[in-house]
Amino acid sequence: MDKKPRIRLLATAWIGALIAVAPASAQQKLTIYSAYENSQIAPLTKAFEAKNPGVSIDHFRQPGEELLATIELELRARSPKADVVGVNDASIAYLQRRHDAFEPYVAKDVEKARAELRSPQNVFTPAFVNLYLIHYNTRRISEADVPKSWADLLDPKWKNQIAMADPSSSQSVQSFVWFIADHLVKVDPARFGWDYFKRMGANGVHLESSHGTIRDLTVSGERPIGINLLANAQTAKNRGEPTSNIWPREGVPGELSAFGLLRAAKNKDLGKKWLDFIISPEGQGLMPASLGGAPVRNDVAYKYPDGSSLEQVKIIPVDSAFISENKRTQARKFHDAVGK
Amino acid sequence: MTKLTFFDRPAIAWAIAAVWLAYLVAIPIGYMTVDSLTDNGLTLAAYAEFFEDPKLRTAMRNSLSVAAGVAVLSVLVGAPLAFGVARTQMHGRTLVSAAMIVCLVSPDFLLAMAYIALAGPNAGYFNQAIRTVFDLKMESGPLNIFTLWGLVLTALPHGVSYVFLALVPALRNVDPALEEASRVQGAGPLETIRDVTLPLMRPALLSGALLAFSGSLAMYGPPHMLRLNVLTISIRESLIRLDFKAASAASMILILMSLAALVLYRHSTRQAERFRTVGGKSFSERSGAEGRVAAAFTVLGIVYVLAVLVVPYGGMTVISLMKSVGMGFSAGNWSFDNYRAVFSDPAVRNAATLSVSLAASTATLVTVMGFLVAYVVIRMKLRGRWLLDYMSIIPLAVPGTALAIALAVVYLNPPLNALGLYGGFGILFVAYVTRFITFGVRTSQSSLIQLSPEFEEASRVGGAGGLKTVALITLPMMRQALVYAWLLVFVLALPELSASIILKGIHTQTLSTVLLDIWNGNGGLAQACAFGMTMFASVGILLLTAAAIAKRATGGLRIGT
Repeated sequence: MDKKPRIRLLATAWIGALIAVAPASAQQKLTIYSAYENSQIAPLTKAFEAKNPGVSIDHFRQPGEELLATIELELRARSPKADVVGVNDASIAYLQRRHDAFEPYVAKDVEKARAELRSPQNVFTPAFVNLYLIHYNTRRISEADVPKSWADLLDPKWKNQIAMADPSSSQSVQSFVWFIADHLVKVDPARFGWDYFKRMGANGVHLESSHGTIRDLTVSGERPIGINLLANAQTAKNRGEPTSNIWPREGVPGELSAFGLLRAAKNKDLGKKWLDFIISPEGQGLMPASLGGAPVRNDVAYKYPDGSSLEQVKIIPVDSAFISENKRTQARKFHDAVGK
Repeated sequence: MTKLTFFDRPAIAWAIAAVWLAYLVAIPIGYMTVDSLTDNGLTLAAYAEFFEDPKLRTAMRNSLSVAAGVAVLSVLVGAPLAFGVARTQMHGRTLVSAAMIVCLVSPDFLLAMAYIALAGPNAGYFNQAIRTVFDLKMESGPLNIFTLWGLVLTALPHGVSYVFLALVPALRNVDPALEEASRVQGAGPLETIRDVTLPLMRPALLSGALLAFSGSLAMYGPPHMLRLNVLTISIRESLIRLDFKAASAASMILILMSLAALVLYRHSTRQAERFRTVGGKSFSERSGAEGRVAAAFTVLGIVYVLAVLVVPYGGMTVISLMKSVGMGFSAGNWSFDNYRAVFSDPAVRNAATLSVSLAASTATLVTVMGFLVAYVVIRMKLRGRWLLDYMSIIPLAVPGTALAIALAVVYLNPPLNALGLYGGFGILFVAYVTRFITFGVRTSQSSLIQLSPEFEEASRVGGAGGLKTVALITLPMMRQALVYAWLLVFVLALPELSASIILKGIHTQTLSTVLLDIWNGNGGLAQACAFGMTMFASVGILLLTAAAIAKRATGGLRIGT
């Protein structure tokens, strides 16, 4: 065979491959950046696409703090690529304060969300409440033996058995850090405060970049106890994994997960439709099976993955403003205390 | 009259090569150096902060310890294996050689993933087996992969491959007459190896050890997965905090550590003629040791292949078939669902297309430009050639994370932001070419050093011009080295992570970044194993295809066998 046609064929295939890498633009496309796993957000995106024929969603996921860095770099370069961002309300407040990143929008039906969960300036639309809990592997730890409180995690018998998120990468763990170091310390200063994390460090706590990885370590038994988010306990339950959860007796920090529309969004109308959708009864009804959190509307029935009802869990709303303003200092204090 | 070309005009050739290397290497590294030394004027504040921070000091110590450990162990394991394959009739030479290529191609974090499953202190399958077999009354251990030793173990197969792949061709190219002369003088086999073979192997041995050292300093995936505090992790954490000063200072310190090794290497191999082993005289192939010596090497080869391929990837295959990792080996816990999830994920398909395109484009440009730079450095007697030589080797001392930060800053600011590369294919391409240019230049350089200039001089004397001499004499004789360079860069670029993790954009996720994302909770351990094994198998098929193409192109490419 003559070599030239072969070379042309190879060159065509190569150029074709390069073109295929470029994003297609025939469909209307909504770009969402979030800290939620693809499999978690998929039921929501699929339902949205079904309601809006001709629209497709491009979802880009990173652990929270890493995602914030990506968004900030894009904002600095004046080339933000996302239309909508899904993170916790503290992170939205952080981006709003530093970059005035979000465009206020009053989503349809947002008044159906509980009043304390709405954004006073409408810079975000509430999606679900995410709570911290003790997630454990039921094949490794018996129900009788399982720690019942946050303080129980300091017991030496749990040495090298616990994993939690690292504030270098995770945004949500800031809520837990605030809860232990700044809230519970007022209730029980002998057990809580920064010294709690010092003792956790001495007890061999393993730090991970993402709560999803912590869930997987709990599931595999490598770290049979995880300080995790409700969303991951729900995901493990949805997958039939051998895990359960404990609501510690001191109460649990509750953070709000929300979506905001970027000012620089290229598809604002689609972005607004998305915000309308997530607060709609259909979107809220999908929350437990998708993002794994508790709906923000009271008119949507819900039970926690272990069967508990909303009233049975003592939720402490986190101080998002404090977290948003102090997260760098908090992260440094955390690392100093844990010694990692 | 003969037309003058690139190869006949040393000054122009030098200038072209210098501009090209300056664009790739000097601009980003220069920018980062300046960035680390300025803050409204010249200052060492960023470095002072670095050395005042105990976490960063620990990271520096850890990086250095791990890299040194990997380099030393790579030589101790890789050199005997290379000797066995090149100089003995051991069984499984093809298997060992293929294993080396596969280890090099496989992302190091795949192995980290596998070893976490096997040697995780609480639930690792090895640990559970050891505790059961020896009836140990302990909940945890005895092995613990989440340590610096665990990191060394995880990085070792890459390092061993570097040493092995550098040594095998060198061992084969030694004229048997040199060793025979030693034997005739009464030296035993070990003395001959010590006094003749090893000194001749020094450039290859040091080159392999250097690659193992700098590769370990630069690795990102395994320490990320093992959650260990090393400098590459600190650099990325600084970037996440958008603290570019801290990232630049940490990067410069990491680069200086790598440069120190490079200088040592250059010092040890400064007289190229001492190591020239291929001249105009041909020699017959040696038959290689047989009997007990070969049997001992066979055992070593089998144990190595089991430890770095069969057991870890076998374990990953098993996990990839589990419905639930938590349910372990129970009946009914098996399915192909994780593979279905991987194949049906459009992000994975897009990443595969992007990674293959990037790797092929990078390999082609690096091979072509690498040859041109090497030709200028080795064959053109110019005063400034040392500058090209140093510029081409600097990327080896620049970890991908550091390079990526430098590129991000350069391409986010005027004037190069006008190119619009940031966030797209372009910046990844620039990063990949910069990262791997050293391999193109060094492979061509090694080949040119071993190729006596007398062939080309004969052509010139016969009246051929520079281009004709290169096309008809030099390139055909270097064909095997050039194909090897292309394959090496392709297989190294395909799983690139440390630069990609920082420069990826929403539409430019690579295979490795997607895999790391799946590990980081976006799918889970079993799905990550399924993806890892798919990637492993795909790379294997690509390798076989590339080897077949290379065989047709060269009439029989030999990599280690």
